[in-house]
Amino acid sequence: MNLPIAAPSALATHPGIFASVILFLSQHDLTQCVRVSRAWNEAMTPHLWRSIPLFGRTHFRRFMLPDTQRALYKNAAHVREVQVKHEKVYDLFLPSRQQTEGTLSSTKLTSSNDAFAICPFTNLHVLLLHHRPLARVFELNEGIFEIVRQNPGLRRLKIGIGMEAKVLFSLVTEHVPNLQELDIETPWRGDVKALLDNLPEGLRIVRQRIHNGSKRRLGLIGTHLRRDDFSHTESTDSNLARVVCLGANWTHIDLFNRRVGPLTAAAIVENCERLEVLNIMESGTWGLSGSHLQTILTRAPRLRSLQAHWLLGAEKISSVDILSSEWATTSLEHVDLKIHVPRITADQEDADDDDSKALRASSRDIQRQVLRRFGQQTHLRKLAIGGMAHSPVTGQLSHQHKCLEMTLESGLDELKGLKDLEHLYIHHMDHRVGVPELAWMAVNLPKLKHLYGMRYSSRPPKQGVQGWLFSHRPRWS
Amino acid sequence: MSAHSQILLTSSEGTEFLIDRDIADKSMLLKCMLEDIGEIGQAVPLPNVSGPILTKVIEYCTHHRDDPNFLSANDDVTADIDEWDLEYCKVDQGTLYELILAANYLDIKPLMDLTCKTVANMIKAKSPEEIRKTFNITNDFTPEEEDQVRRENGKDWVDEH
Repeated sequence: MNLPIAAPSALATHPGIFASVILFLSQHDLTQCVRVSRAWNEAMTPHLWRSIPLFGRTHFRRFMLPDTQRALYKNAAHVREVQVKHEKVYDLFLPSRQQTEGTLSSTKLTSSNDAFAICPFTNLHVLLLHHRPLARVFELNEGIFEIVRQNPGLRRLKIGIGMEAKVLFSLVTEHVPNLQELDIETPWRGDVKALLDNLPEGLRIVRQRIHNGSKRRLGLIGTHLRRDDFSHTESTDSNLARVVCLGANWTHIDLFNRRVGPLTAAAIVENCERLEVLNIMESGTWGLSGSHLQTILTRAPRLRSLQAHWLLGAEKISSVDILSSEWATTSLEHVDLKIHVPRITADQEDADDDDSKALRASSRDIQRQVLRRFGQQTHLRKLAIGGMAHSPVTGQLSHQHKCLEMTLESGLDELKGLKDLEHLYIHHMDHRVGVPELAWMAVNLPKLKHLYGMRYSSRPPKQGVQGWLFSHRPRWS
Repeated sequence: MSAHSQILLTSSEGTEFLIDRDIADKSMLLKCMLEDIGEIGQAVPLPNVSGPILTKVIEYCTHHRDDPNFLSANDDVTADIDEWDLEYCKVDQGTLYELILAANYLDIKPLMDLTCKTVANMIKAKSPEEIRKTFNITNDFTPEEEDQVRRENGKDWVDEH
């Protein structure tokens, strides 16, 4: 910088600009910024105190320091998000604590190292009370009530400790009118269903874990099923299947790396009408088959994202599965699939005899139809068909060989409608993309910014490809 | 409208700038204005932007004229700044702030993000004293206040997961 005199405080005098700069700073940078000057302190402090995680011992110790407590009282209005996981923080919710210390003044705090400091927050948008063992939960009710009541602006609430459904629903319907996402754990009783049906408009139950009053969890209902809802030991086929059926309102199912067996597969297919997002990557190879997937594609009109990549080991998704029926959705944005098509051998590729020609023509015709299906999904932003696959013959993980060639002769031009496509992954597969294909993509896929697989394909690139990439330097190579 | 239509802009001191319509369209303010009122054939006054700053802004928009990712260019908080953009931002602080204000006023998001990112890079990984030096700021805390601010805000919350 050659002119240090100009506009020293311009940053702090334009709050809009300040806020834009802060977006690019880390929490640590903010701790330094608030110490620069009074003006900077005033402008940066709210951002520094926006979110308070209380996950482990270090957080808790820091939280209980008199300095922190004083700062918390001072900055309580700036705090928008509190997350609690640490056991000892929950002790602060106990009624005995509240009665004796709930109205502590900040002067008294300096002498007490053990204050009740959950209550100063009044401006929270997000409160996440993560899981805790069921013991003593009812003692906590009052404390939790207090903090929820004090924060009418709450948008997201998670109460991962068992509370009576009735009590909980009256709390959220009466005291937090802006609530949009609820994530709770309640004992399952007959009235829960009725309560669910009477929730205010706009409130979405993201998840509700259900237990039977003791420690056994019965399942979940809601709209978002996440992989973290199940530990690996819990994720047996029958368990997953029961949860999928019990909820039956799922819009998002993410069972990445959980073993989806035949029961779960059937349950997903049965309840797929509302599905928007399905992720069953790395979910084993024994459950969901190509025909299940075909059914989902024909029945789920809202499907936006489909990731089913790795299940193809035992039974690959064949081109027949992809083609044989109309897809219900036209709004796919993200697809991650491996597609098995008949391919001729490398020797036959250039052979001139009639047999090779006929095989070549029929293979390319099928590939073209597959690509046409994808070409109709004009909202696609990410199309990933590359990646290693388990060979159905040897069971070994290897490059894909019977895969789409991605050449113009085999139908790449069917993707011309994908004007929003940003990512195209064709790595670890035997594609035959050459210079004409690259040139075609440069013209016809205007938003493409990531083409992955020119270096990591299963054969050395075709002649001229490296030279073309070097001289054209497309933004996506 | 023809691809070659041009727009006349007037800077705060009255200097006139004739620019191509597609360059003007990089500014959401101008784009909306031109769409609303059509091409009026007279100069659009920009009383908040000085001539030299307007020249810089036009330079940026012209360089990124055919950039298909223009609107999402600097979205990524962690991404490095492109080489040309880096050179472009090598200006004195006064100019940089005026560029931010102009980008904000003209509503050119990628330029706003670029310039703000540049300011953020001047703050990153520095001690309070180094920040003061960089921005020529006087420390107006009393020693007691400074000590208190340090104790209360000394650590960030994200050091443990």
